[in-house]
Amino acid sequence: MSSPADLPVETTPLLEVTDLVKDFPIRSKGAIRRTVGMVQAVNGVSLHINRGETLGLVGESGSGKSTIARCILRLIQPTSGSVRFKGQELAGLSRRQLQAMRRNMQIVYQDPMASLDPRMTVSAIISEPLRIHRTTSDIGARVGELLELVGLRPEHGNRYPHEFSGGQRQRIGIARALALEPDLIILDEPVSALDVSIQAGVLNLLEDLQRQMGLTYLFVAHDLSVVRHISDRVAVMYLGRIVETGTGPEVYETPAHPYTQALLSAVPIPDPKLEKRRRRIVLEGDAPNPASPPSGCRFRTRCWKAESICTEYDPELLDLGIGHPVACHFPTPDDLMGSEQG
Amino acid sequence: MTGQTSSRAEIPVLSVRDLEVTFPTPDGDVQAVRSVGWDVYEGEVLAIAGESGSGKSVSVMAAMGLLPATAQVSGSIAYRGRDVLAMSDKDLERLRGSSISMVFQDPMTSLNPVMAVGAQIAEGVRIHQRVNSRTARSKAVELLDLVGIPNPSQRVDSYPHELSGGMRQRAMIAMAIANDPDLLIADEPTTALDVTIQAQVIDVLERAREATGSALVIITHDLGVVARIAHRILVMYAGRAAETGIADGVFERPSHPYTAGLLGSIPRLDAPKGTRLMPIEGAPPSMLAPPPGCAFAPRCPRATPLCSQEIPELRPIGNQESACHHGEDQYNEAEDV
Repeated sequence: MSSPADLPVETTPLLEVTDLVKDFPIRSKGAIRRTVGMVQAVNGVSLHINRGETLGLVGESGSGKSTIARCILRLIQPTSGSVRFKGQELAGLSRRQLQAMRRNMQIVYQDPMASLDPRMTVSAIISEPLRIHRTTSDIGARVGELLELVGLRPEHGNRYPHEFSGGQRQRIGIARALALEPDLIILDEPVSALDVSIQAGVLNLLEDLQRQMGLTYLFVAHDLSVVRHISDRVAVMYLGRIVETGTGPEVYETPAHPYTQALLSAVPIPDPKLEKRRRRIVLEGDAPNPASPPSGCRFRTRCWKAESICTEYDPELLDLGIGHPVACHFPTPDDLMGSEQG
Repeated sequence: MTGQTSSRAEIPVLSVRDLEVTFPTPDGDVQAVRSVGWDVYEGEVLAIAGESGSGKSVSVMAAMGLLPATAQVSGSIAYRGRDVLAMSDKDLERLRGSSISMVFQDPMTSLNPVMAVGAQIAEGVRIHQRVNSRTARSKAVELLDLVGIPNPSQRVDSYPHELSGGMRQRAMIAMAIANDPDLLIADEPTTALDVTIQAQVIDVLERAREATGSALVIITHDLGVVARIAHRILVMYAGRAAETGIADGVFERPSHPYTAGLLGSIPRLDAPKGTRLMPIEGAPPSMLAPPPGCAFAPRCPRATPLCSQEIPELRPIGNQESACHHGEDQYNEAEDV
């Protein structure tokens, strides 16, 4: 999937996000809804995705990961920052230009029951993008093809979403996203609503489709095990910022940000013997209110390493000799899975 | 904290036998639970695990007498040898909240939104114990402190909406242990929470269990949580017990293909990179018309004609009990790997 670094195959990433900021106003109640504050949902995020790879964007609720997904697709307007797709800046594009662009960027949502129109047949749902973008004359054949691609049967097209199980519905959502043969698919918590036995089938399908069609994924999720499984590279978010990013092994095997370490140590592994001897970092308290984030490092209020510098200076996302970028004043790689240390 | 409670001479805190729960619906009877039985002993953690619709919650709600009146419940449920299903409402009320208490998945729907959390805890204390309101309040502060709520003497006057999800769940746990129960039942207590908060809540549950010496039944779909906290596990599928045993053993050598299938379909944080997941084909059956024979047979890689004819009974295999006609094969295969 990835080409060796010494070959200058493709230098421009498929997607490049730079200094993305999204503030949501907090409005007062009553008839005159004055803006009384700002929630900084995304606060200066930069990331890139190369063609054919999967970037996992992982974080807890309120970390801003879904907001980033929505800003990339311009489903919401970013406050500032740049989003370049195939080298082209998306800010300032007209609606028509944006619509043409979106053909190449599709999204799959968490809850297929909410994102599939219950009154449309599956065929109508999957063919809608084909009709809007007028890409093919034989829509029927294409729909059948897409259904087979996601492991359903062409005759399923005549049914309605409620006649399917959760896993099958998610496959319908994937078929719709694939209809226009997009370059990039944004998967926003695509398997979180599914039982594990069903989830595994959908994850395998996503892997197979990527291999067959050379797809590029932005995989947004809160489940660290799922993200590790599917991603080539990973970005860990906390309170609107990326705190650590790197290849899967870099982030999961040598996490250097205290938050990443705590997060990984908190994920229970289905192995009672291993669970009993694992080292666990239990964080104190909750994430701060994103409407009034702490000064300096946003994680410092829950960090056991915090010193006065953390209150004063916001650490930048930099590689300080760790091997991958970490936004921490005191990054120390730590192999948490090598459990034996106490 | 060892998983073993080897001497089983004592009477279980709660014993469930031949439990059947049916919900009549316009489309027919939903057979939510079918001949399920389990025991939980003093100081022990039993996990009831399964996916949505497996009947894991319903079996416990039945034990607590919390199902709607339309539910048809049969079987026997004994609290320290006393028949729970035959108890009067008054006795049942005394049992719930003092001897047995529950923690639910969503604290926002189980806490009263217009009452301070401290007052809610104190109310529970005063229903079951003869104390004045002042003592009840200071007991509430003590409990909030025990579950790790910072500044408990101020938080005691907070309303549920002023607390975060994790704090609310702690308040629920404080309420549940207020009357020193023998048995704490937690129904998906960490499901709605972020992973770092989930770790905190599991710690609090363990601390609460140790402080009260109670038994704990935890209902969860998350096998990671089971591995973390449980001594014994009961795996449910389509309203029946698939497998039960000491957690260590069941995870190491599952004796039911469903348990093995679940374990194979979870992406593990410690799995070698590139491990292909092994999904279970198909979907769980409709509980309106479960298939004849073993309910898992249509999805089972080991199924033979026998499986679609005869319902497998739970029987001992190794150190576990398995409801599978081919349980030995499954159990022995796990050893070979």
